[in-house]
Amino acid sequence: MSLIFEKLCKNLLLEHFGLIIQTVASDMFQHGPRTLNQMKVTTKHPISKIKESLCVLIKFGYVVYEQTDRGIVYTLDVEKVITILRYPRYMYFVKTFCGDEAEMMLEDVLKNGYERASQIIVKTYQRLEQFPPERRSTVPVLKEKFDLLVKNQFLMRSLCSNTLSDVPTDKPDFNMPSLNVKALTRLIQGNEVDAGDNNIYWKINNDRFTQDLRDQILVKSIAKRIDDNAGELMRQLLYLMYLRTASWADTSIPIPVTEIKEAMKKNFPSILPYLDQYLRIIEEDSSKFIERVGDSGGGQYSVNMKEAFHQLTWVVLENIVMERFGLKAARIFRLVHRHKYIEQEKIQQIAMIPAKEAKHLTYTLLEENYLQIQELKKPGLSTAPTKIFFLFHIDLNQVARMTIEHCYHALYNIIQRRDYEINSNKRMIDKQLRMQTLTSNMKEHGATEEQLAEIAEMMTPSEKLQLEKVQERIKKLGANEFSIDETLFILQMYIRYHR
Amino acid sequence: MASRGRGKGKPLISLGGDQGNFGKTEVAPPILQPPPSYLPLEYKPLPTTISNELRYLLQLKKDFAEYMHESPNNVLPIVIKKDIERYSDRYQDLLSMKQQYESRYDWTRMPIELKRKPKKRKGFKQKELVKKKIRDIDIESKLQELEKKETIHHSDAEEDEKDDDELDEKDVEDKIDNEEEEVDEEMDEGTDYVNNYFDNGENYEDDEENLDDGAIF
Amino acid sequence: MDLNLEHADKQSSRESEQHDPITQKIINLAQLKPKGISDKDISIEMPDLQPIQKAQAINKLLAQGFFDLFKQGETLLYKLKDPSKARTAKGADNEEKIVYTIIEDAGNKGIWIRDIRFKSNLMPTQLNKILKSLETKKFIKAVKSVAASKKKVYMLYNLEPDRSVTGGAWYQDQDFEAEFVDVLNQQCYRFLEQKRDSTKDYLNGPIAEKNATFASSKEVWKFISDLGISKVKLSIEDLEMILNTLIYDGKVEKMISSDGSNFYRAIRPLLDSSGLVKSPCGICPVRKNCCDFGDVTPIKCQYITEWLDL
Repeated sequence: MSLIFEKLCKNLLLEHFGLIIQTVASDMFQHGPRTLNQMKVTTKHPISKIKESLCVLIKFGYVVYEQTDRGIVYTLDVEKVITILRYPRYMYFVKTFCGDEAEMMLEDVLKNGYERASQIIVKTYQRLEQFPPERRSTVPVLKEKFDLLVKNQFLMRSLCSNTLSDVPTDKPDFNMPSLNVKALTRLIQGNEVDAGDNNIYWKINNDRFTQDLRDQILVKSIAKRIDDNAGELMRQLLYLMYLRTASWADTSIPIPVTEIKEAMKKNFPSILPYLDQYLRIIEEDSSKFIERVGDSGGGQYSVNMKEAFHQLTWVVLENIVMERFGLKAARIFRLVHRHKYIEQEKIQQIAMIPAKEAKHLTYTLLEENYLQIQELKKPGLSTAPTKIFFLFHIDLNQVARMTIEHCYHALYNIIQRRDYEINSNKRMIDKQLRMQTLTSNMKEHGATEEQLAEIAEMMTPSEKLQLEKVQERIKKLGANEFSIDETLFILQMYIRYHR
Repeated sequence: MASRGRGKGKPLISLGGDQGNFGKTEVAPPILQPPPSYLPLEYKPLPTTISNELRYLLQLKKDFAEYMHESPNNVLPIVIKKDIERYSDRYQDLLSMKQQYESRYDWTRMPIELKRKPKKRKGFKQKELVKKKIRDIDIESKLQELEKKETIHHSDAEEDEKDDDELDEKDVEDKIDNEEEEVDEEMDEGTDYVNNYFDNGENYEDDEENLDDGAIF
Repeated sequence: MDLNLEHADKQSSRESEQHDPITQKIINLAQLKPKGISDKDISIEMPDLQPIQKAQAINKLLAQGFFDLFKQGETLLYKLKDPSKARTAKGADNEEKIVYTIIEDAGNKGIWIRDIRFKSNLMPTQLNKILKSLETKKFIKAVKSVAASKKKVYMLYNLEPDRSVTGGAWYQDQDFEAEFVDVLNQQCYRFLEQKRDSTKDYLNGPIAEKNATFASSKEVWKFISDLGISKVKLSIEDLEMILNTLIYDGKVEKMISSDGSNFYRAIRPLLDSSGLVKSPCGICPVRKNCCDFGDVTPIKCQYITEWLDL
C-alpha cells in the first residue's frame, strides 16, 4: 500500500475522528497488526486515549481484533477507511431507493458504526419530530422502512463475540428480530424498555452498496451508448443476474430469454415488441457487456462483468490521455491498444499525424508511462545488420494501477486544500455561524426587524462577499472529491476482476 | 468538447540515445534560474457543473464530517484548565472526564482490555459506586495537594496526559512507581465525592446525545 | 528500355574494334603524353580536324572509357586510361546492366541504395559511380520518399512513383498536409453525426434505426467530393484512411457488410468524461514533484488557485 494512500486515509480519519485516532491508526498503518502495549510505546499517547481510540475504530469497523498468544492484536482495515468518501453516495442511494426515513436511519448507523434497530427507529422518530407534521412518520411506518433496508440488504447484522475477531462471516446475516412496537413507543417517551433486540446490532453492508454503484455505471453506460430503453433492459438483466449468480462472479449464470421476457412483462412491458432486437444490439456493441451463450429457451444471455469493466477502464484511460495530452495523443493511445504491438512508423502512418508530432506525442506517452516499449531483435540477412524494432504496447494493469495512485494523490491534495481553505478563513466562517445561531435564536424569541438587521450588519458587505467566495471554493473542492472518486471506483472494479 | 490543438509542449528531459530515432534532444537555452515549478498549463481541467444531486451530496458530506468531528467519537486530548479556581468546577471537569467512553459501548462485543478501570466501571451504570479504596489520608493535605496542582501551569498537554496515563494504569497493572499516586486517589475520592454531591438523575445514561457536552476544552 | 542499352552496348563494342583514324590518332597522341593532352594539343596535331569532329571523337573516347578528364588550371586535359582499367570499364557496363535490372525489378516503388548494394554485391564507390552514370543517361531517377525524409529510392526514369513513395494525396512536396487531414476528419465526422442524429426510425424498431445510421465509405466519399474542399482528387481508399482515424478517435465504428464493403457510423462514448480530469491534479504536469514540502504543494498550488478562481 502506497504512501499516498496512507496519507489519504489518515486525512479522512483526521477529518472525521480527530488527531488522536489518526495517530493510533497511523501506528497500525506503519507497523501492521499491533497489541495495545506496542501502541502505547510508539504513539506516546496516554493508554486511556489509545483504548478509547481503539473502541471507536472497532465500533466503526475500521479495526478488527484477534486473540493471539501475544495478546489481543489489532489490525487496521485500510480498504474500509477509504469508503468514508462514499458515505454520502450511500445515503443518497437509499434516499432514492427507499425514501427519506430510510436515509435517516442509514445515516444513524453510519454515525454510530453499529446500532440496534430499536434505537435507530427511536432516534429517527425523534429526529422527525422536529419537522412539520406532514413529514413525520409513525412508529409502524418507520419499522417498515427499517425492514425495507434490511430486505434490500443495505444493512446487515453486526456479528461479533468477545473472543473471536470481528471479521465478516461468509454468510452475511439479515435476520430481523421481532420488535415490540409498543415497546418502541415507550422508548420514545423516554422509558427504559426492552424492545426485544438487546444484543442485536446492525451495520452498513458496504458490499451491497458497492454492487449497486457498480451496476449503476453499467446501466448509465448502455443508456448513453444506445438509448434509455436499452438502459432499462440492462438494469433488469443485472437484477436477473443478481438473483442467480454470486455477487462478484466474472460472468453471470446464463439467463434465458423467457425469463427476461417475464421480467419485462412485469416491469417494462412497452419494450416487449423490441426485446430481441435490443438484446441483439447490446450484445453486438463493442462494449461487450453481455454475450449470447446459448440458444435454448429462446436464447441465453450472460452478463459479463469482467469484460464490462475491462472495456470501461479503456474508456476511462483513453479519456484521461485525451484531456492530458490532446486529441492526437488519444488517437495514438487507441491505436496502440488496437494493434497490441506496433512500430513508430506505422503509428504515424495510420494515425495520419506528421512524423515529428507523432514522435513527440509517442515519446510523451512513453515518458508518462501510458505506453510501454518492447525491443525486438530480428536477425536479418547475413549481409544485413541485425535490425532492432521498437514496438509500443500498453500494459493495462500497470496503467490502471498507476492511475489509481493518481486518483489517491489528487484526492489527498484536494482534501488538503479544502482543509486549508476552511482553516485560513475560520474566523469569518465562525463569525457567520455565530450570526446564524444568534439570528435564529432571536427569531424564536420574537426579535424585531431592527434587531435582526443589526445582527446582519455584524458583517460588512465586502466580508459577506468574500465569505461567499470562500464557500464557493470549498464547495468546488468538495465536489471535485466526488468526481475523482468516480474514476477511482471504475478502476478499483477493474482491478477487482482482473487481479 | 472543444477541439484540442496539437501538442506543443516540449519534453522536459532530453532523450537518451538508446531510443532510436524518436524525439530530439532539446537544447535548453542558457537560463540563469531554476526552471519554474509551475509551467503554463496546456490543457485545463474539464469544467465541473454542480448538479442538484451533487449539491445534496455535498451537504450530506459536510453534515456528516461535522457531526463526526463534534461527536464523542472524536477522541480529544486531556486539557486541564489552569485558571479554574473553584472546587466544583474542578470536580465537574473530573466528572465529565470520567463521563466515560466506556458507557457508550456494549462490552459484550469489545475486548475487555480496552476498558480503563474494569472493576470500577462495571458498577458505574448504577451511580452508587465503587468500593472505596484506601481513603485514610486526611482531607486537609489533599486540599493542599489540589491547590498545589492548580498552580502548576498548564504545560503542554503531553505532560498532563502523562499524568493521566499513570493514573489509569495504576488500577490495571500492578503498582508502578508514580509520583501522582496521591492525585489518583484524590481523583477517586473526587469521584466519590462528586457522585454523592451531584445528583445525576435517572436519565444520566440515556442516549449519546447527552454526551455532546462531554468534549473537554 | 532494354533494347536501347543493348544497342548502345553494341555500338561501343563495334567502335572499340575499329578505332577510326581520328580517334586512333588522338589515342596515339595521348599515349605519347601520359600526363594528358589538351584540346590545343589535339588541334596542333590535327589542324584539319573540325571542331565538331574533334568533340565527337573526344566524347566517344570518354564514353568508352579510354580517357579520363582532368583539369589543370584553366585547361582541360584528357588522359589515357590504363588499358587494364579500360577493360574494367567494359566490365562495368555489365555491372550497370545488373544494377539497372535490380532497379527495374523494384518497379514504381523504387529501391533504396542500400538494398541495391546487397543485391548486386558491389562496392559502394563503384555502385555510386554506376548510379550516377545511369542517372546522367536518364535511365533511372532518384525520388525522395515520404517514408524516410532523407532517403531516396531509385526507379526507372519514366515510371510514376507509387503513392507509398510520394505520400499520395496527403503530401504536397514531401510535406504532410496535417491541416488538410484534420479538416477532412472533422467533415467526415460531421456527416456521420448528422446522419445519426437525423435518423429517428423508431417505428421499425431499434435495429432498423441503428442500421439507418450507417453510411458506406462511398457515401462519405461522395459527400466530401461534393463539398469540394479538396484540390486533389481523393479516392475512396483515401477517405477510408481518414475514417480509420475517426475510429481511433473513438468517435466512429466500422462494420463490414456481407459484400465486403465498409460501413461507418458515429457512436456515443460509453462514459462521460472521467472525473479525474475535472480536477486540476488530474491534468497537472508537475505532479511528480508534488508533495507537502517545497514549492509544489496542494496548498501553494497555482493551478488549484487558478481553477478555484474561475
